[in-house]
Amino acid sequence: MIFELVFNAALVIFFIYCFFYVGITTPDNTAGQLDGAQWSQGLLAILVILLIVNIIKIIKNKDNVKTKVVSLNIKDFITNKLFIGIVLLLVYSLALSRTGFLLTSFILVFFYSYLLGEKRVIRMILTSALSVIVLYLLFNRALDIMLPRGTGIFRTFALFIESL
Amino acid sequence: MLGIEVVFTPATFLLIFFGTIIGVIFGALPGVSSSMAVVLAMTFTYALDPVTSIVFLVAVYCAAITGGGITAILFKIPGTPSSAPTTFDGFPMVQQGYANKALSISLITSALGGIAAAIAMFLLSPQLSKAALKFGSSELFAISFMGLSILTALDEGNVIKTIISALMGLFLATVGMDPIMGHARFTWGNSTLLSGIQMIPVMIGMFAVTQVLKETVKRSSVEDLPGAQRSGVIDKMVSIAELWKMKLTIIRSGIIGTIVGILPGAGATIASFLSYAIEVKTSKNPETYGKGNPRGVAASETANNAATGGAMVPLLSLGIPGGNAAAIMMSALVMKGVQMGPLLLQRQPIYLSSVFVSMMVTNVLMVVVSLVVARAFSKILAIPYSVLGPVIVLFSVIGSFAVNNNTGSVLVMMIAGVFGYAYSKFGFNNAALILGLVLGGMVESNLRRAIMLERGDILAVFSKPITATIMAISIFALLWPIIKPLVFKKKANAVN
Repeated sequence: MIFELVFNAALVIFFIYCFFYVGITTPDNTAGQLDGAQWSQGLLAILVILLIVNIIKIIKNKDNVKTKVVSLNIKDFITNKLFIGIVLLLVYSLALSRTGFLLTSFILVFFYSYLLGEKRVIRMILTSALSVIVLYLLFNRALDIMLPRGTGIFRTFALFIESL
Repeated sequence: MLGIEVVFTPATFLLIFFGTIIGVIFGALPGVSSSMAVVLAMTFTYALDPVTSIVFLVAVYCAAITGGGITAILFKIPGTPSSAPTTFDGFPMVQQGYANKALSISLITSALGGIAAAIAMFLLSPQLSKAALKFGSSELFAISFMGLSILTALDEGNVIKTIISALMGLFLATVGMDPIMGHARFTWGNSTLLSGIQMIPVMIGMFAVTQVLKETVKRSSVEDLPGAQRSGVIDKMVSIAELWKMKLTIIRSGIIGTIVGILPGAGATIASFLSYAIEVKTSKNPETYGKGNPRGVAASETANNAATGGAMVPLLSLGIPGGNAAAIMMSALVMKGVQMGPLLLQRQPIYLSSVFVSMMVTNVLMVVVSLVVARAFSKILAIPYSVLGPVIVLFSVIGSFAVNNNTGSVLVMMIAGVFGYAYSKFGFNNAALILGLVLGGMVESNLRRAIMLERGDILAVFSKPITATIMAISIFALLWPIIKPLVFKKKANAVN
């Protein structure tokens, strides 16, 4: 429940900020028109009201839900599968342009397979390498979709794979 | 004729065949919904022209809905949510030793439902689009609003959260250039945001990555299910005489599926549940349902496939997606520069005829493909999620990157996936957010244009007969979940 409240409260704060931001950053209204800022502000105002209603509902329902003591254990949190999965995905998307599709995807598939319960290392390596290379060549050759090659040595490696 | 010329070229026919195979496989895999199948297949359309793209995506969509029935029957795992009612009678039939009969009923009635709905789509869409040509900005705003309001009303247990989700989608659609005045909104000086939030990476993230994250936390697999058993039983396929006995069920479910599919916001899942419920209520032996009654399988599978044709009607005639899969197809066409809306069918009738022929061909092909896939499926299901999950992520990455060859889109997709996970975890509605995002531009620009044309007189905008009628229906649909308990409470009190 606490996470749900935090999530809703964060959205309320963000939307209130957006409400004022759009008002400041767009030019004044022309008479006889609904301008872009007013439309956005209308949506944001309803959103904030409904989110507050939702927060009140969550708090009211608190009595019906078994109270659970929330203790934030840092170790449990960072070793949580979901947390590791999210970090993997975000790091992957940030590294993709530099290290290229081939290497970054190989690492992602390898570690994500492990996260999903695969423990046989040889199988993980084979699956990762095969799936990444097959998809790379399929999209590169058959559909003319050039996936990121990366820079430097990663680019050279990608060019080598393409030449196969 | 136009459609036949397009579909029966070797390349397109092969694509439909390929789309049918991957659709059946994706649809049958637990954790891959029909919308996700369409999202993943969209990657293959980037190199295709718009007409071939929609033909291919329609094939994947129809086949995915059918594929969902295979695992629903054999393993009691609905491959897609719309196949959930199929498990009620399909799995008991397998337990009684009628696996082949249940599968053949499912596949043949799916095909019949799909073909009937394709014919309905072919006949209804041009009429609807002709009528829609008389629509101005205010009417188009009202129609888009109706799409959102009906969706909201359908999730009656969660009205506030669904409205919040739809509004979030509408808000996200305002990021970028103002469609009328051209001012920048919510860009924070970032030039990438000027072109707005890209729909496709957000959709891929919210459907595919969110699902992989859910599976990371809690797996849904065959071995987790108690009582799941592989068939291995030899029994006969359904006969024509047996199908003839079910004719009323098939006709009834076909009509229900098509109508529900046409309603913006509704879809195959509601169609199959509704059809199953009506079948039980109208039966002389309702107690036999849930225990292996073949009519239960026929009702659910006819209706969910009929809904696929229905969903294409508002998409092609009005440019309004009837559900998630239709919204994804619409994005694929918009990305290729196709102007969606009533004029599409008037100026380019090739879209309707090609989609029609594609649906007809797919519905016939998928019976054969599904029978082969069903036999092989115990092996396909053995693919562990530890392989399937990361491959789905790779498809999602390629699908997002290829939108504009930018790794920024991959980041947007991943963020949408993570946000989508939190969002659905807290009971919000991802589908409503996506529909809001897709319809956002249309809702805003039509409303603002209508107000501009009436020189700021908002009352004049909403007092036009068509606009007023559609808005009244929309507001009723929006308020229905609140009114309904009051109405039924009064009735109950009166009875007591």
